[in-house]
Amino acid sequence: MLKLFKKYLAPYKAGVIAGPCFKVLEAIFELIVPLIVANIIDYIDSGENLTSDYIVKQGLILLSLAVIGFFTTMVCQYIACRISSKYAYNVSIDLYAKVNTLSFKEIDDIGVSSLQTRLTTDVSTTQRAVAMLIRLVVRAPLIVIGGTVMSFFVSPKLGIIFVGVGLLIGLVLFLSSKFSLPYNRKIQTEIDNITNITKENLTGTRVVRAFNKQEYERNRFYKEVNDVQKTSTSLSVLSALLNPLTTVIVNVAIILIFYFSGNSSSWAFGLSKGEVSSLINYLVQISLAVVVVGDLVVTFSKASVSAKRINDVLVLEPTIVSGKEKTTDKEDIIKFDNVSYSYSDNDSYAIKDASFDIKRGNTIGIIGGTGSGKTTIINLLNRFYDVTKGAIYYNDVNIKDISLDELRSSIAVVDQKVAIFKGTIRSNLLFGNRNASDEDMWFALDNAQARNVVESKENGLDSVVEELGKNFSGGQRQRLSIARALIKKPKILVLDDSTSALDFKTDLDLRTAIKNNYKETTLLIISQRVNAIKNADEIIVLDEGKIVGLGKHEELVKICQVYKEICDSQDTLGGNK
Amino acid sequence: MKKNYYSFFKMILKPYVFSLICCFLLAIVFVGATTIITIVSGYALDLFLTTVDFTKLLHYLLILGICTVSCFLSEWLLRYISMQTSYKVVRDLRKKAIDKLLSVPVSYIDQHSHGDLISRVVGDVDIISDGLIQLFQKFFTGVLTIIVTLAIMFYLCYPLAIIVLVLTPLSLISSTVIAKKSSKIYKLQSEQRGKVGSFLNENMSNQKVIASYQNEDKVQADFEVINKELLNINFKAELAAAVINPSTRLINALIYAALALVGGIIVINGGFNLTSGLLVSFLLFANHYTKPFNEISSVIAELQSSFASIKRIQSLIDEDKVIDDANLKDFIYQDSNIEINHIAFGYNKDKLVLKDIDIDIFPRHKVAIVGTTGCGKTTLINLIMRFYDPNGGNICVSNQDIATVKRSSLRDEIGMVLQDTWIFKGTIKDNIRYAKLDASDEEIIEASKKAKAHNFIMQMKDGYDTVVSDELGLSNGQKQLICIARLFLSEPNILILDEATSSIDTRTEVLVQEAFNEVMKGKTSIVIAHRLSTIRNADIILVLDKGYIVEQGNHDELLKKKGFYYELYNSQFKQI
Repeated sequence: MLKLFKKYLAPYKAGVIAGPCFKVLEAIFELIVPLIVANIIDYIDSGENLTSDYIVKQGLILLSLAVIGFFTTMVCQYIACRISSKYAYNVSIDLYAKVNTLSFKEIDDIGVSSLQTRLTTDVSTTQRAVAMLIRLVVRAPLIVIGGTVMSFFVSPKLGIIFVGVGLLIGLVLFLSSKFSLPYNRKIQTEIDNITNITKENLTGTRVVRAFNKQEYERNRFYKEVNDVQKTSTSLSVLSALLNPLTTVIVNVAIILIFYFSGNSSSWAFGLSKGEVSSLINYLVQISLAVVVVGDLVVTFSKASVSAKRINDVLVLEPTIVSGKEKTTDKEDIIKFDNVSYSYSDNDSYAIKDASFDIKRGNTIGIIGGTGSGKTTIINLLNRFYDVTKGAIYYNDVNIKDISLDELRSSIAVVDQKVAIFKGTIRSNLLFGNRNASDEDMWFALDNAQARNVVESKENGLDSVVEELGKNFSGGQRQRLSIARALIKKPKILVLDDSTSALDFKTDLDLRTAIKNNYKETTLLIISQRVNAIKNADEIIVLDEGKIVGLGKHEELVKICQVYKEICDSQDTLGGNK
Repeated sequence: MKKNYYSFFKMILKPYVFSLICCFLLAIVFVGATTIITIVSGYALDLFLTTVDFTKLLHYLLILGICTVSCFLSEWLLRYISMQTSYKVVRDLRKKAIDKLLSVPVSYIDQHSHGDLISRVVGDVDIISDGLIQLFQKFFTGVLTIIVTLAIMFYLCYPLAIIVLVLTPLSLISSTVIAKKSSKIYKLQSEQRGKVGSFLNENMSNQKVIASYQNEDKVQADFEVINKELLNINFKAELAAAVINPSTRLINALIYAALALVGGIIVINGGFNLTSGLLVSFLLFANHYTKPFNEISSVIAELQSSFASIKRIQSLIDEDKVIDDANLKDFIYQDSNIEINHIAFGYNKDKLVLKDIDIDIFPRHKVAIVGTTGCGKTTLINLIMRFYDPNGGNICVSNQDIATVKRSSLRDEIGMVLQDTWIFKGTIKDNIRYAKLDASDEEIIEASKKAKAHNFIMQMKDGYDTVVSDELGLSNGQKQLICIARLFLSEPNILILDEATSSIDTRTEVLVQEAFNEVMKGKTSIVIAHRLSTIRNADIILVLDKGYIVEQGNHDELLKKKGFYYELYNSQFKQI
C-alpha cells in the first residue's frame, strides 16, 4: 500500500504534509484549552476583589481559539478532499491505460470481472484511505506523544506509565491489522464471486428460466452471500475488540496513576490535586484520540488489500511490445512460416506448423471444423497473442518488428461475437475511422447491406445504440459491424464467420459489393459455408490445428479428404451433383 | 420521502429487534459504567486535596476496576452485535435483490443496464451496511450519554445546564442542514459511479474490438471525461461530509468557551452555589455531553450518503411488476401441437415487430422459420417461451393457452438453445448437468457424446472437470455443443433452436443433426436457421417478412412458387 501511495501522492507532497500540519495546529489549540481553563480556575481561587475582565479576556481567547481551530481544520479537510479525489482520478486513468496496453494473455490471467472490480471498488477503498490518512493520521499520534511529553513535565516517574500505554496501544493496533488481513482478502474474493453470479444471471436470464433453474441459481447466490456474512462476522469479533481494548488500557493506566500517587509507600507519592488531575486529563484526551485510530485501522486493512490488487496490475509489463519498422506494399502481403501457438502451457497446440502465403488483393477462404484453429490464426495475425513457434510476416517484415499501429491500422476484423457500443450509429462508424464523412459512412453502409438498418430507425445515423447494441437484432448488429470495418478502408479485411445471422441473399450481396468496391483489399473469409469461399483465390483447410489442404476449390475437392467431406455435407454444386 | 426511509429501515431491521434491544441494554451498561468512572474519578481526585486516605482510595479504585471491566465487555459486545446485525441485513438485502431479479419479467432485465444493476447489488448494499454499523454503535450510546450527563449538569448548576441545553442542538441542526443540502451530490456520486461501472462493463468485455480498431486512446479519452466528472463530484461529496464534524466541534468549542466564561463570572459573583471545583466538574461533564453530539453528527453524515444507495436498492426490491404464476394451473402435456393464433407484438407499443402471425404446427413436425434479419424470428421464440406476452392473439400448446398455465410447467416441456450461448463459471460437467440436476455422470457423458462434444472435452486438461466460464476456456463452437448437450440430457418434447448450430462446422453439424433426428422422434421442433442443410429437411418452412408470414410450404413447394424463398435459396449458388 505504501508503494502505491508513495507513487501517486508524490505530486501532492506539499499538500500531504501541509494538511496534517494544519490539523496539528488545531491539536495544539486543543492542548492549550486546559491551560486557559486552569488560568480561569486559578484566578477564581486566587482571592477577593475579582473582576470579570480577566475572565472575559480568557473566555474570548477560548472563543477565538475555537474559531481559528475550525478554519485550520477546514483547510486540512479541503486539502484532503482535493488530494484524495485527484488521487482516485490519477490511479483510475493509469490503471485503465495499463489495461489498454496489456496483451490478452495478461487479461485472461487476471480476468475481466476482476479488472472491473479493481478499477471501481478497489480504487475507492484506497481513496478513502488517502483522505483518512491526511485528515486523521497525524492527530492521534501527536496527542499521544504530546500528552506523554506533558506528563513527564508533571511527574517523570508516572510518565513511564504513559510510555507503556503508548506502546501497548501500538502493539494492539499492529496485531489487529495483521490478523485481519487474511479475512479481508477472503471477503474481497467472495465479493468477486457475488459480482460474477449476478452478472451471469443477468446475461443468462432466458436460459435460467427456460431450464426452470431459478431455485438453483438462488441457492448458488445465497451460498456466496452467506459466506460473505460469515467471514465478515468472524472478522468483526476482532475488529469490535479494538476500541474497547484501547479504552481498557487507558482506564487501567488511570487506576495505576491513582494508586501510585496515592500510596504513601510508592515512589511517586506526593503529587497535588492539580497535578494528578492534569495527568488524568491527558490520559482521557489520549483515549479519545485513539478511538479514531481504531476506525482507521479497519479502513487501512481493507485498503492495503485493495492497494495490492491495484499494484499487481500496474506493475505488469505487456508481453506484446510494438516494433518500430514500417513496411512498403509487397506482393506477398501475409506470410505464415511454420507457425505454432498454444493458449496454455501444456502440449496442446491450437495451431501447429502452419505455413502459407497470401498475395495482395486476393480473396482467401479459411474453412475447418470447430476448434480447428481458424480464429487463432486471426488472433495471431493481429498480434493479440504472439506465436509460440515460427513467424508471421506482413509485407515481408516480421510482425513483431512492425509498429503495432501500422499493423492494426491495416487490418480490420469483423468478429463472430459482434460488438457495437453504446452511443449512436454514427459514433460506432466513427469508431472505425475518425475522419469519416457522412458520404464515407453511407458508402460503407451500402456495401455492408446495412442501409436499411439505418433507414429503419427514426434518427438515421444519429439513432441511439444502447449498451452492447441491445436494441438491434443479431443480423443488424453484424451488418453495422461490417460497415464499421469497411469504413476503415483496411488493406486486409477479415470476416470471421461474421455473416452467420444473415440470410444467403444478403451474404451474397455483401460479398459481391466487396468484390466490386474494395478491389485493393485482401479479403480473408472464415466461413462454414463452402459456397462462401468456393470461388476464393485460395482456400486453407484446417483440421485440429493443422493445415490439411491448400489450393483452389476444384483441386481440393479431388485431393483433400476433409474438404471433400465438408462439401458433401453441404450438398453443393460442383461436388457430387 | 422521510416516510420511505423509515419504512425501509423498519423492514430490514424487523427480524433483528432482539439484537437492537441487546444493543440498547449494552449501551445502558456502557454509559452507566463510563459515567460512574467519571464521577468516582472526581471523588478520588478530591482525596488529593489533603493527605490521601488510602483505604478510601482503594475503595474507589475497586469501583473503577469493576466499571472498567464492565465498560470493556459491554462495548465489545455492543460493537460485535452491531456489526453482526448489519452484515445479516446486508445478506438479507442481497437475497431480496436476487429474488427480485429472478422473478421480474424478462423485459425488466432487457431494459436496465446490467452494470448498473450489479453495482446496486454489490456496491450500494455495502454503503448501507457502513451506515448501519455507525448507527448501531453510536446512536444508543450517544442518546443515553446525552440524557445522563444533562441530568447531572442540571444537578450541578442549572443555569449553565440551560445554556448547554439551548445551544447544543445548534450543532445537530447544522449537521442536519449540511447533510440535507448535500443529498443531491451524493445522488450524483452514486449515479456517476454507476456510469463508470457501465462504461467499464461494456468496453472491457470487448477489448479485442477496441484493440483492433486502435481506439485505445479514444476509449481512454472517454474514460478520462467520465472520471473527471466523477472527480469533481467526489470532491464536492467528500467536502460536504468533511464539513460536518469540524462545524460540530466548532459549536461545541464555542459552547465550552461560553460555559467557562459565564461559569467563571457566576463563581466570582457567588451565585448558585457554584464553586471552582464544581465548575471543573461541570466542564468535564460538558465535554462528555458534547462528544456524543459529535458522533451523532457523523452518524447523520454517514446515513445521508447511504440514502442515495437506499433509494437505488429500494427501487429494485420494490419493483412490483413480477411474475406470479401461483394461481395458474399446471401445463399438462398431451401432444406437441402448437397453435399460434393471430399474434401481434412489439417491444414498444407503437412499433409492432410481429403484426399478424397465424400458424398451426402439427405434432412431431419440424418447422423451419426463415426470413430477413430483424423480421421477428427471435421475437417469436420470446413469445412461445413466454418471456414476453403478445399484444394480441394467443399461443396454444397441447390445446392449452400458454397464458393460463404456470410458466415453469410449460418450460419443462420445451427445450431451447439460443443464438447467444450461456456458460457459467463451473466445471464442464456442471454446465451440462444444469439441464437435469440429478443426472448421473454416465447420463452426462452419454448426452455429451450425442452432441459430439465428448471428444473435445476429453482432450482438455481435466476433461469434464475442467473449470470454464463464459470468457475463458471454450471456443464459440464448443460452447454451443455444450448447450446442445444440455438438451440431450433433458430430452424435452418440444425443441426450439435459434440458429443454434451457426458456429459449428457443417461436418459436425451433420452428425449433430443425425443425433437430433433421433431425439426429435416423436417431438415437435422449431428451427430458426440459415443453413440450407437444416431447412431443407423441414416438414414446413415459414417465411417471415415485415411481421407477416409471406410464404409457407416445404422446400420443393416453395421453390416451385419462385417467390421469396426461391430468391433466398438461389443466392447460395450464384457465382460472384
